[in-house]
Amino acid sequence: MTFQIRAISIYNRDGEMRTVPFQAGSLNIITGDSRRGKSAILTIVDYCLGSDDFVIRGAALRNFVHVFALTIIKGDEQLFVARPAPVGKAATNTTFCVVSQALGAPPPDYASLTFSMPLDIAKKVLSRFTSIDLSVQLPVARSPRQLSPSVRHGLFFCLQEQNEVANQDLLFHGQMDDFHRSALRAMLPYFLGTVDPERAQLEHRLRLLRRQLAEQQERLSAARPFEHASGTAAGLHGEALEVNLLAPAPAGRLLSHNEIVDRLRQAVEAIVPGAAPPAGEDPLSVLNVARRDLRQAYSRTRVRISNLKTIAKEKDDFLGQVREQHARLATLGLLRRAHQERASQDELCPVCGSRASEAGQVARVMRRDLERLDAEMSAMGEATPDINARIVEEEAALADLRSALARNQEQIEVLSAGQRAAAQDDPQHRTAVVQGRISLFLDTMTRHAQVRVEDRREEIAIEIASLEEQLGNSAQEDLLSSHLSLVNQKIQAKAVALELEHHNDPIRLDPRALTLIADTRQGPVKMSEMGSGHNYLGYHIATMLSLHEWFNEIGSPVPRFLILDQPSQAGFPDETRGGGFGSARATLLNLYETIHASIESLAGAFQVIVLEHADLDEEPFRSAVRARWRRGNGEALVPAHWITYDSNE
Amino acid sequence: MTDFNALSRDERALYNPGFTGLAVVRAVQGHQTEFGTPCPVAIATLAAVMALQPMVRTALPRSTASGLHRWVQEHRAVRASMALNATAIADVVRPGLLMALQSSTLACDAEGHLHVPNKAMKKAITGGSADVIAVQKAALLLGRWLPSAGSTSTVMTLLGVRP
Repeated sequence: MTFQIRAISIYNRDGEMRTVPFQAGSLNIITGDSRRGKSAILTIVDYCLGSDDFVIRGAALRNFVHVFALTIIKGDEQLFVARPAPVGKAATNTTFCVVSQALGAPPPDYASLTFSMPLDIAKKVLSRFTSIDLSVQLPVARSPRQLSPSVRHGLFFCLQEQNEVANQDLLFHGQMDDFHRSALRAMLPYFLGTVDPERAQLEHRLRLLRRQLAEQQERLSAARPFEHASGTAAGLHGEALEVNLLAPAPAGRLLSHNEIVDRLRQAVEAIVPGAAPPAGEDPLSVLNVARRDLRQAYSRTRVRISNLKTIAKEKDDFLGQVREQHARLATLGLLRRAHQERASQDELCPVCGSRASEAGQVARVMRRDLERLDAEMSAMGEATPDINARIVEEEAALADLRSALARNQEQIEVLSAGQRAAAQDDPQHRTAVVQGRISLFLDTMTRHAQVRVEDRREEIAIEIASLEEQLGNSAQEDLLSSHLSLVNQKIQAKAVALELEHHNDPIRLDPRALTLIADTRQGPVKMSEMGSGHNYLGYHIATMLSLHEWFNEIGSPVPRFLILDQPSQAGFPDETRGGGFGSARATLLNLYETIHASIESLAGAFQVIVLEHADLDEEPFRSAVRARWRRGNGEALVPAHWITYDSNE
Repeated sequence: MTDFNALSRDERALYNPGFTGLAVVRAVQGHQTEFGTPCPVAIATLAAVMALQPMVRTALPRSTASGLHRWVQEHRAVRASMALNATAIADVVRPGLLMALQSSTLACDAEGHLHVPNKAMKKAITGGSADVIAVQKAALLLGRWLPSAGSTSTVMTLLGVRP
């Protein structure tokens, strides 16, 4: 359920008000001469619905009108929106006055208007009044940002300015602007009802999950060093043994990280140091030996890897050679085809007639070689994956060795630091120092939250995959094209009614190019290639009406009005009232009949406002005329007595 | 002429008579398409010998429009390569020629000129590796191109080889 226009009001500096009323759910025509403020109706609607700049043109309006206002109705709600003209040198005015009224109430007095609502809030209020779901985020092609639909985007489908209504290059209001074009492309699916409102939540959930996955990865990689006893812990353990804080560990196996930490905790609590230092070897030398071994293993592994790589490369070279030989031998097949028939002469040389028996033998030798090569190639090819697997294994071993070396280095550093510190101290003092360092280490370690990080990556990944599946664009694309095809049918029907060119060919609305395309036998014809202002106009009207019929069917949040500025300009002089121009009149009347039929079919849910030069005497035109602003009767949008050029402001 | 079995395994495979014969056949084909007459044996053999040398193959022009004299002058490496390898390669080309004749992929007329009988060999060049295709293409080109410089003896002299 969205709104229609009830009235447009303007206020002058003295607080006088002029209101132009409209009827909801029907055709409203304002006819009149040029420069009487007809086109201003459209710009006032645009301005009051939150345009970013001061779109209102014309000296009379800019100089003598101070507040522009719009009364819009939705069901039994009525909203009065007023926006003042820019003051002084400002480019535009960004404060609104939005008042909720009882249905049918007249616009409030000038005195009671308070302009306090900023532009962005006003846009949100109006968007909500249009029942647009503000939580929806739509992706914009080729740009990282996302757009939320607003009432401004709805206006793409509700306004057709004088230079747009029959323009061959653009179909929608404001389409010439690049920024608008991308917004239009993004919004069209939403307004056509192909965007699931739940989609936004799903996408949001997907983003959250991706972030979670990244966090998990970080946590896991941070926790990995604790799988082995870290070098620092092992080094401190060694020191604790050195200063008799601990009994030596049972030899013959490496302590796990947790065991070492437990022992360190005991060491901190131990108060009395043991009597004699253990008669163990110096831990530093042990570590150095271990380091040498590790280094040797490391270099051995590297040599193995490079050897394997060489083997693999040689294999490749050899295979290449063998393939070449094989290919050359295989050419035998090209020559032997005729051979079978001439087996009798096989023994004779065709040139000299002498016996040349080795030819058959040569062929035999060659065939043998071929078979041998085949066998070699297959044997070689099968071995290659094994070699590659070996290389991968060895590289993993190398990485392990590298981290072991790093841990060893840490241990050595900690121990030697402890020893340096202890060199000049008595054993008591030294014990205390070691205890202090151990407790510091334990404190920092608990800060690392030694909770086992559970590996939830698997399930998160599964959830992400299923969400991506759900969000797959394919479903939306299908829905979009099916909705568009229904809209295209409506356009087609109207094209037939308006007797437009190409109405026998399938006509479709292209959501990317934002234009109409007729599929002829000679290939697709864009609207801009069709020719004749009559066609452009007809297709514009047909498209807009069809879209609005569709919007109404699905309850799309687009304002339910359409303002057309001078559809008759394309080839209809404004003296049409005189009764001449037989064919032009008939065509114009046909256009209005089409619009009227469309409004009728929607039974009051759709309003069309036409600003027109022509003034026809036939129905449905005559009864739809709401005002005639002519020079003859002195009527115009801005009352004549407002226009006072004697004021020096 | 060396005995085929005396060659090493690799040589036997790389310069097998089937393959060298094919090079000869392509040269004759080239000659036929260009001049419509049967091809002299010497030209066919020479073309095959040249096509089998990678040094010569890479130096070959793209089309038959360029002059042979100028090309030989500009690419001294061609003459050097021919002087080095021609004799040895001719030894492996001859069995190929023989095999092509035996399998009647080539036919010989009374004047000792060769031609490819109708339907004996497909026009399309196919092969199991890039080199195999390159050799055939080169032989075809040479068959079309060598005689353009004049008589057979002129060509031989130009390249510094004797029959």
